[in-house]
Amino acid sequence: MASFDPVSLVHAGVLSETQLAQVQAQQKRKGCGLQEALKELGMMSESRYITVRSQLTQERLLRDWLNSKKHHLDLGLASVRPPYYWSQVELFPCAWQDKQTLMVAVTDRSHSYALHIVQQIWPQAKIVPLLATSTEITRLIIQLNLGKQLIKSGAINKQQWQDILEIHRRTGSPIGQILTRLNYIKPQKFVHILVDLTGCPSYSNLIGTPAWSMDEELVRHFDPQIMSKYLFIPLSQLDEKTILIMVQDPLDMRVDGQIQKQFPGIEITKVLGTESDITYLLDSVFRQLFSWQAVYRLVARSPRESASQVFTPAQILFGYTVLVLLLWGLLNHTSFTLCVVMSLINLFYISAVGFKMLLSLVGAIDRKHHIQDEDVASLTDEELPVYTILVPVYNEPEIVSMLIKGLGQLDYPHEKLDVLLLLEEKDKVTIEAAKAAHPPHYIRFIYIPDSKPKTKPKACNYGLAFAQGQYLTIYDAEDIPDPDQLKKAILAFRHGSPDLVCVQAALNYFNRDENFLTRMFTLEYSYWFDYLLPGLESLRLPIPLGGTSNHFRTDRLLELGGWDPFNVTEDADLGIRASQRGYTVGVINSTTYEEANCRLKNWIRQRSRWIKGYMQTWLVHNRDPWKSIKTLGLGNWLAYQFFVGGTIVCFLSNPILWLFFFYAAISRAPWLEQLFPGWMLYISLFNLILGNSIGIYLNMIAVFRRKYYNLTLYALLNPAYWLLHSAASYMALWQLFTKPFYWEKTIHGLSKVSHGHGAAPSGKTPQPQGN
Amino acid sequence: MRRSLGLIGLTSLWVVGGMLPVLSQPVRTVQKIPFRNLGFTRPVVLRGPSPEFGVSIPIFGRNLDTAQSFVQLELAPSPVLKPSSTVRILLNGRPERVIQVKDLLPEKSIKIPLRLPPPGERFITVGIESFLQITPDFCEDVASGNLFLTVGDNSFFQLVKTETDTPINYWFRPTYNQVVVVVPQQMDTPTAQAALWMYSLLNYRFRESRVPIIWFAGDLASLKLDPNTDAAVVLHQDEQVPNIQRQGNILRVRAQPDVVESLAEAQPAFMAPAVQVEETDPAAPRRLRDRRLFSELGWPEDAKTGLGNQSFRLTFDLAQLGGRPQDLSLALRSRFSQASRDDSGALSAQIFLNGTFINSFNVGTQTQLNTTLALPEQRLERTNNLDVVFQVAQRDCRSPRPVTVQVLGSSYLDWNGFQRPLGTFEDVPQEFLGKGQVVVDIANPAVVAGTAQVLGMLSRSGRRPLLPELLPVAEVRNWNNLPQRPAWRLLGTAPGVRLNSPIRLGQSFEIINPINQNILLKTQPGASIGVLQAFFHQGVPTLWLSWWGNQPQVAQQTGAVLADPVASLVNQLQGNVVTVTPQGSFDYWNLTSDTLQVRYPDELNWWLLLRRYRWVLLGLFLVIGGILAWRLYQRLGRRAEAPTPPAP
Repeated sequence: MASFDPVSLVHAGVLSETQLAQVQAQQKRKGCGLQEALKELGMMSESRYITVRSQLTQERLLRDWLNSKKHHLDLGLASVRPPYYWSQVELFPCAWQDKQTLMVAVTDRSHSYALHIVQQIWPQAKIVPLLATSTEITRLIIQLNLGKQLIKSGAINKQQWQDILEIHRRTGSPIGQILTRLNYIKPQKFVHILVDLTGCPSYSNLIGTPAWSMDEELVRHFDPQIMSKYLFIPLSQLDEKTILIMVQDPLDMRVDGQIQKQFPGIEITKVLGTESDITYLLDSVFRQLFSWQAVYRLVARSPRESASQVFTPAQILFGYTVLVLLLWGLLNHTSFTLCVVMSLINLFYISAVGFKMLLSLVGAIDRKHHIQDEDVASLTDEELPVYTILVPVYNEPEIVSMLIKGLGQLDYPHEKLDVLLLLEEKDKVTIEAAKAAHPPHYIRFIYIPDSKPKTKPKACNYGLAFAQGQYLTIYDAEDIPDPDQLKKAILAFRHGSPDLVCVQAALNYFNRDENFLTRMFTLEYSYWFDYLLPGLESLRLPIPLGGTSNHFRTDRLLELGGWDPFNVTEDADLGIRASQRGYTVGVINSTTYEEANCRLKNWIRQRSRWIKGYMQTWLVHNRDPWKSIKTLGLGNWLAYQFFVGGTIVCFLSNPILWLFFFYAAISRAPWLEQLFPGWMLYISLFNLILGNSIGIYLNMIAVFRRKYYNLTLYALLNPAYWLLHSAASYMALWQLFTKPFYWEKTIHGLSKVSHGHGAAPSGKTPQPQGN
Repeated sequence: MRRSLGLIGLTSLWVVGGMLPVLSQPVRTVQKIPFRNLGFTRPVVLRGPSPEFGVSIPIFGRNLDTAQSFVQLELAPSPVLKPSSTVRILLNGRPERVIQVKDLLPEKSIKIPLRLPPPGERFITVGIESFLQITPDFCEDVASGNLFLTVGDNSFFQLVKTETDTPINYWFRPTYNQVVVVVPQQMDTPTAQAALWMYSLLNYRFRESRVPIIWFAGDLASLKLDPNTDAAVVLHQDEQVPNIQRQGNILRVRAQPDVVESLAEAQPAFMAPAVQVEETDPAAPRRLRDRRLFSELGWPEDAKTGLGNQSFRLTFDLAQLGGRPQDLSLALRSRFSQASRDDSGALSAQIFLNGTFINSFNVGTQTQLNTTLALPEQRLERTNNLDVVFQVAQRDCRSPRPVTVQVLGSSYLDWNGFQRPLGTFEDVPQEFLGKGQVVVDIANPAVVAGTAQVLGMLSRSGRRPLLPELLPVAEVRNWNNLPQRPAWRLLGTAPGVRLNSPIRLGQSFEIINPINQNILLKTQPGASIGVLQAFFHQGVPTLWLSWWGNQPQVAQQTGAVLADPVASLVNQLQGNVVTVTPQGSFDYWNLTSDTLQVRYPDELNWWLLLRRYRWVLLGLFLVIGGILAWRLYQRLGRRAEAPTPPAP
């Protein structure tokens, strides 16, 4: 192993020749190594020294190695000797690089004899040194000692420690996270043990007391996303060379890496706090920023993409002109004007319905992201990234415990789950219920500041600031996702094109047989998610996302600006926005079961919000039609018009057409014949019947993929169901002008069917059937 | 089955009746047939250097007393004609007399004894050929426009026949002064249907002669008919007498629809075959292009020879084409003598449709012209004149060369389907030829009479015996859902019925000009107005005869006015409403567009108010809408400004 030539420090400009001479003199005088001499002369800290040495010799740093996702520390290797042994020799075996090569953490002092020591234990072994400070090696030793301490304290038994080590080996997750998130030990207890082991003090109890102080300016030097991800927060700079940070896991070297990136060579003094403490402190420092970002990030970045401006002046002028022309036409050329209006309505109506028919047929034969069970089974836990799940909850205390239970059934390593329960800070009832449910430690509470607009996307945007996961999804409180959904999403991203920014899982209902509404809702969702969205995906058309179970790449989501908090169907808007930015959205063969709205008033409220959101989305993405055509392409643009705009027009015009039809049929009113030519009435009637027939047909085919054959005949009632949509659409239209950002809250927990009952009669977790 | 047997029986009776004189008492009859009865309601002016004229009457056997029978022609030549100009009168194609113009001046009656035509021919034809001249310069004569000879409309035939009676089919001769249809005063449904059909049939049979057909409810005896010049059809309900029986000019017909139908199906031998209109049901599939040969339209295909211009006029109506054609074109096939060897301008053919110049061809060096040209459909009228004028440019005005021209019967009109009916009188009669339905209040004799006369008008103008199904008003349950789906409907009802008609008759109304609010027609208390309206009812072209006021007789009067063959008002029908006052004032109104509107003084007419104040309304909307748009902009249209983000 080559020794380090101190002259290279002079060549690198780190030391002057004079300083080198002083150092060498100090070495002779004290009989110490180069690093010690530098430290004693106050020329360079140990951390700085190994950083410089690493740069000059290309030897790897321990902290970089630990930060690399490819390697994991194997604490089992060091257990061949007692911890004090490694303390004495100042080195630590980290992991086998291959069968003969061992990665060994060494200090400057132990660098020269490390091979000798290692070969005493593993005679044929070669070593790759990982430069570390003595403190870092001590931390590794403490980590090794941690097991004994935990066993000794009675927190875990030997077998559990072995299991934890196994998980650590398999997943690479920090020991601290495994211990706390898998509920082996409470975070506070873990902190106490670490205090005993490391001598680092715990500051948990100081928070909120007069003795507490934190340099918020210092905190703002760091990216809150990084701090949230690695669970640390700087508290103050003790002196020029030392920084005091609060960490959850002092043994997690990745934190050191992040600190060194910001302040190279600085000495780190760690104090302990729980994950909740750090989240709380981050929230308290960045609360205003996060809150601002949650509301205004999109407005500030791209105001024309935000629904905060409901109508642009051009849209108002256009609407005003159209209305004036319409009135002028009605007053002067009544019959002709009505004919033109009816023709346009008919054209849009039948085109929109026909387009949905086409999509459904395409979706029936082609499903792109069909993930096989074998592919899911082949995934190893080690390769799974941290996955963030946002769960916005508002005024739903009754289903919080069910939600927590449901999340626990996800087939995903829990220590890699980052579940953020988004609670409105004034929603004390739900907060208390959530606390009372004693959620596992992978669930964090995020308190959303009370501000306008009070919408789900704002809460999600706020939660996004705390997301640690590489991927992110949203579930509603009452959702029951397929257990393997997260894994399927990961596979879809891996197999998908680089521009795939989101995958949408199907939604369906567990209480489908409860009443007419739930049956029709189930038919509608089955056709929407099983046929229509796959059709959109196959034709590479913009996909308006569904409310939940849409899985994102977190970085791309941030790049897109998150959700629009002013849009009440932020999901649909995000899907279209992603398409406009050149990204694609996919659909996966996994289902999330929800509670279908079973009460009419509640249903109308929910549907009016959705349709209002569609109106907002349609207006937003039609602010500059020419630009939209250029970015989306004419085909996609037309598809968007027919899909989003057509849906609105269909629901608004459907009752008018029915009214005409029934009035004409019953009264045979002569004035109708005077106002409309016969062909117009016949075409309208034809469109109405054809449109509703297609609606019935689509609902009928919807049952096949899930084998809900008992719902087939209910498809015949689709025209009545459409009329309910129409009622909701007129309510939406009214609200668009009066309360555009008002979030019509859907009340959950009204169903008498218990979770999992309807979806999986056998009691198993619901699985999609058919292909 | 019962109907078939009935028909066989009736047909047998018809044959027998046709072969055997019903009454065999020999009577000498003298009949005077004015030219106006033969369709010449005005004096005929023959123009040009060699104009021709022809008129013929049918004969009904060879029982004409030629010593007593004659034709009297009232001839009045142009006073500036050269006295030596001649007029030649031909009888059955043979020159009968040549008269110099000087003998005709200023006006003279020429009596020509009639002779029977050669055996096998059923018409006596009288022709006039004239050779008119003013100066030796032909060109100057033509240019002066004074080459003419007038045949007076008081010319007439006098026929003296020795045979008293003739077969039934000879009853339908177009030589009566009038024909009266005598119907029972009280009629049940079959009788009413038979009466309507009979009236319709008579109008069809006498369509060319303009003989008035009079509707009379009552007893024949109360009518004082001239046995020589008047005729009558008596509908009776006596089962003891034959179904059809002729007594001189009286035809007694049993009042059963089957009997009238059998009468309609038999073609009297002397009648020129009518052009049969094909099925006009708009729902029926049609050929890609329809075609009608000139010969099918009654074109005589006679060649003309003369010195000056030669004109051919094809008169056809839309009913003959079966509707209002679209994409109409003319394929002209004509032959002529060569006018010049080298000057194509020596003879030119010019084509006009209803006076609109279509095209011109210089054909002086040719001997035939075969061409196809598009005709403007918008120029089509109910009755149309297609003129082909061969204009001769005589080079030698002193000794002009005669030209012979002929337009062949193989020329044709063709078109591509028909235009949709309009729901106005423009549809009459071409949209009223298929299977129709008459809905009539048979309890009201005046309405039945009026309806029959409107039906007669349709049959006469449509050149088709219309035998529509009868639906008594009493059987109508829902006016908005009348049974059947006929090609057309004729309604004759009291005014209280609510229909999609241009005028609602159950209340007072005014017809106004919305621009200046001038009242053009106003219903007056105590007065009555007969009203015929055209519109679509349940998508079917419909005519509705009714009245406003309390005198239903005005409906009969309206029918009589419309059915008058001499006035032939059907050719003047425009718009969608006809009103007839008891004083006989006839008006038509177009209430389909914004030009005229109906106002009902008893009710508030929102639509009229809207129309009247539309600009005010629009202005208000502009202002209020503008304010609302501005408010909308202030509330929801301003770009949201993100506040300054807090320091990171």
